[in-house]
Amino acid sequence: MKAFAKKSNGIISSIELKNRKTQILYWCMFLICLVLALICFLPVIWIMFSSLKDISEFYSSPPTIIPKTFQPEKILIAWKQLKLGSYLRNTLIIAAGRIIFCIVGTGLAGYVLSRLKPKGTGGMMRILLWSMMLPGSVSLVAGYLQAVDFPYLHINFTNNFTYFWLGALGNAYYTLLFKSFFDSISESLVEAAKIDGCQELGIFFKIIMPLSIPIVVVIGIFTFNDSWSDFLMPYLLLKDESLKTISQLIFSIKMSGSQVSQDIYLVMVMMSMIPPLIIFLIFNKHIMNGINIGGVKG
Amino acid sequence: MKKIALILAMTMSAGMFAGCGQTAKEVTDDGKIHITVSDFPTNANPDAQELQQSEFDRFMEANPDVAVEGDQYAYSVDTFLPLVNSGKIPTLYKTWFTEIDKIIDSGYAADITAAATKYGYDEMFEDNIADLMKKDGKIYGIPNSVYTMGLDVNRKLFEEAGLLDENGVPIVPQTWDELVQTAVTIKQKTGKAGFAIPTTQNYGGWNFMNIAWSYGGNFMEVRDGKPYAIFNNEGVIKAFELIYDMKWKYNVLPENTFLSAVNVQELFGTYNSAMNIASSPAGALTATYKMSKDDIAHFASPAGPAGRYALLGGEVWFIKPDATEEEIDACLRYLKFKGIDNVITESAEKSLRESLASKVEDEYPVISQGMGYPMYKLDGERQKQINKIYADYQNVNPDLYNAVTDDMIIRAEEPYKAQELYKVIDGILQEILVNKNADIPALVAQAEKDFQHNHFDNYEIK
Amino acid sequence: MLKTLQHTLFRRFTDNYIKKGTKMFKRNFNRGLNKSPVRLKKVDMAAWILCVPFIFGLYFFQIRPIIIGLSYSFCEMKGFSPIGFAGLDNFISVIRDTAFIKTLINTVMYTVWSLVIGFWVPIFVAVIVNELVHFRGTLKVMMYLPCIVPSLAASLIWYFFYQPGQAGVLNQVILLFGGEPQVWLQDKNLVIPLIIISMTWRGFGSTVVFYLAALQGINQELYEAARIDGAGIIKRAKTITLPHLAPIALLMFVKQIIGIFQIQSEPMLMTGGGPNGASLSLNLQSYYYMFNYFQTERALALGTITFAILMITNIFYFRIEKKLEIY
Repeated sequence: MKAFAKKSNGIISSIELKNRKTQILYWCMFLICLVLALICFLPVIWIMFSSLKDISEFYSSPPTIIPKTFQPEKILIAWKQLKLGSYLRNTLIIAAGRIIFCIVGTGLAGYVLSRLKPKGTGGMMRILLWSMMLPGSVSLVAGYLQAVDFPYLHINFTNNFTYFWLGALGNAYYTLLFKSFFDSISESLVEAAKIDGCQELGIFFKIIMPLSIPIVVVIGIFTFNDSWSDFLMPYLLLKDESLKTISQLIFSIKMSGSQVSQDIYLVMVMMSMIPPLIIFLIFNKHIMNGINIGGVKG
Repeated sequence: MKKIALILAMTMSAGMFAGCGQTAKEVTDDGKIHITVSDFPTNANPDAQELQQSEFDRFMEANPDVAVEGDQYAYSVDTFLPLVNSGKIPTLYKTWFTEIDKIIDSGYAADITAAATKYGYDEMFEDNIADLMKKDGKIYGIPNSVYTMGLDVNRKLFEEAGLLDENGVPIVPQTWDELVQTAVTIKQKTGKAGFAIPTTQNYGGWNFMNIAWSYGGNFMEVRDGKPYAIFNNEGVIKAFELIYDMKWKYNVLPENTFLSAVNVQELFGTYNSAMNIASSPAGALTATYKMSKDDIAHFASPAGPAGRYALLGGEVWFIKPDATEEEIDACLRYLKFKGIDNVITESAEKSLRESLASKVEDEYPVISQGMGYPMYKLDGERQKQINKIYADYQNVNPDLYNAVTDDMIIRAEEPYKAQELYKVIDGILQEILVNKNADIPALVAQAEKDFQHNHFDNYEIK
Repeated sequence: MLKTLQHTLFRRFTDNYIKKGTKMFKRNFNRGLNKSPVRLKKVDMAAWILCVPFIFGLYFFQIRPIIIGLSYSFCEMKGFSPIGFAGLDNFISVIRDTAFIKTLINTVMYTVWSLVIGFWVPIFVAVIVNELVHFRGTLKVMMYLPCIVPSLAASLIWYFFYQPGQAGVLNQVILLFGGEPQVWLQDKNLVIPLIIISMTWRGFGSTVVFYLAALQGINQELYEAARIDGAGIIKRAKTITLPHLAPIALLMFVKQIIGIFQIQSEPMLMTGGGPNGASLSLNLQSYYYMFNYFQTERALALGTITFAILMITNIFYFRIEKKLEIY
């Protein structure tokens, strides 16, 4: 077993794995993981195939677990009938805006707290740690009230994406992620650049920024997923049909029962999963590494 | 560096707010009264949109001082509160009779007494309907339509179970006991559920009223100006036992217990259940579930020992609370134009004909369902006119529609905290449908006690 | 009379609180100023200005809504606007409701079940995934996959899985193996753990990856030394691995309590709180108060109760955390 010989971390050492008993234990653990991974994986696959069954098979009783029919054209039907394109586009616009606002807001704050360390940084850190733990069980009313009449500015954000974008500015957790990432950038790099005659701003753009791409990607993806799942505020604020998001649509159909048959509904649910899936598959290495960044410091 | 940082920060913050500034909507001051009307068809239905828009256009032609615009808002419990609080509710919005009390009590409907009197709406409607629209002698709403609850019957499943007469009309159960027998036959012959009742989102209670009343059940009474919960009585218990038996003794209900009215519709429309209580066959049956219009039938709901009861429901128009006198006036003019009137005007007839024609095109069953419950005092004449118009479009066998019987007792909803009552009944229905050992009398007794405690102990009739 | 008394007490309490809060804030803030309150230098001002967007977001989108929500819970409300002071009336009214105790117990049960199911599983899985040398990356990706399924979609997928009778996917699987079909969510005793399972399904992948990251930080030589000293696999896990994971596990533990205690949309979508209120949570009840019955003040009072319970948890957390010294 070559793979065993190379094992370099974990509780069980490669030497122990030469033992037959330990090997059995190892394969048991592998089996557990495999089963769990399948449990995670199969429901996602199931919804894809199940929603694309032909309607009579979909409603037949008893249902078929392994579908007999496969009608990818139902995606097109659902797309046209429900104008899914517009809902997906809106969700994407909101998510994209949120990513930009989030990275600007939390990135700058993380940079300040990590490298500039102005007086008061300690107090700010305490506030951040606390606000990460604040339950939001009473926020809905005030959140909605300020969305329809923003304090001091008196802007009504109904049918407007700006409110969702602004909401992404102040995430304490992502600020801490940024901060701990910037902390990990070696001071000697900065010093070397200074000796080479780099200005402070030059350091930010030439050294910090290029090094920060991994964390920017990770926080971007986290923000994307948060934004994609959000349905309650859009449900309350976006009234114009041409501005509604996909999650909001799925939620409102479930709650008030707009007239969509279950199979088309499932197609919708599936379509709502596809963009995050694509992004995940492209960036999954970044995500895993990114969590490593955050994980060390919590 | 610090200077640059400062500038960077300032431009960024400035840019942020500049972006928001443009969002305020410009109101064009053209001297017209602007009103918005709810229930404009959604984008998924362009034909219906066109139809509705053409009605608006005709109205604006006749009333050049009014600009009316459709709003896709359709009343839903979840979104109403935020909308009305932010003033985003359409000027004229439509809701259900079940919501009247809650909305008037919360002050979310404008007092329209003056304008309603001006247009004759104060004396147009049958007394008990008019009473629903009033609170303390003031008028708040205009009824749009009324219905009584009946029984949806799936003709195809009846056919498969051999339950059609020689003319192809389903043999409809006339009592609840007969209904159980019919359901058993259907279950045996077709394997499909014989009867379905919703249990979530307060729909269960709404349906259950019809059954409970027909077993002589009562839910509340007023003593010395205070309401009291009295649902621990034999009629109510009998009605719950009927549902219990359907599940555990005869097994004629669907396997899933958590059903909303929409789920029940879906079961019916996909030929998975044969009967349910409903106001009238929903458009979704043909449009969404592709049910054949000829398989839909609708009859009066069965009778119980205390008679054949039908719950009276309907839709009502309200005007948003902060509307001006002019807006209220314009709204009522629109309603009159639309056809809420003692007589069918030319404009109303045109709208009706257009909508019927499009229904025929969509393969939706079109039939005049008799008088139903009279909404207008002069309903006889009006109905004759309507029947005549309907006759031109009728596309189904009229024998399949017989929702009104002579022995039917029509009853409005319970007057106080009806939605809360429905929620409690939903809970009991869920309990008895999932728990074979449920002790119905104990559940009902506990529910009565809790309901009295939670809702009536501090309740004052306004 | 009682009202005015309550009012004055409330005012005194809030005034006092605000004063104390400002003092505390100043103290903390000054601590950053090298413990000597000096005026902020220009340089520092510029740095803080860079934080303006963040502070704006934090204040308006997180802190302000909470402050307002909490204070409105002491008010008489008309829709979303306060029209008068109500003292403790709203709280009395929600606590008096016969459903309150049951809802509170349900919420606690959600939390307990989520700790029973959702807390140990990720630690266990992370530890064994860390031991694997075959397909480790692939397994990790597969486990992470449900995390990117939108929560709404996840609830709906499980709603279909849990359908009773022959229509349910899980029942189909059971029938395949010759078992009896179950009623799943319609069983009063099972509904809460089943909802928790569906949530664990969605959430545990990312927690596993978190723990894996922490496991990478363990010095390999510790294991070697322990092995040479004759410690078995289990003993090594107990004495080295678990203590190392403790701080992050504590954080996860508290975060999970905070998250699950506020559970709302999952039962709303899957059961609507049924059967007969068996899966109704505090936050879901609060949602129903607000949107179905237009009783904003009761909704907020219930929200405030949830808030208070969780803040107490938080205080405990920060106490313990200080001892463990993570930061």
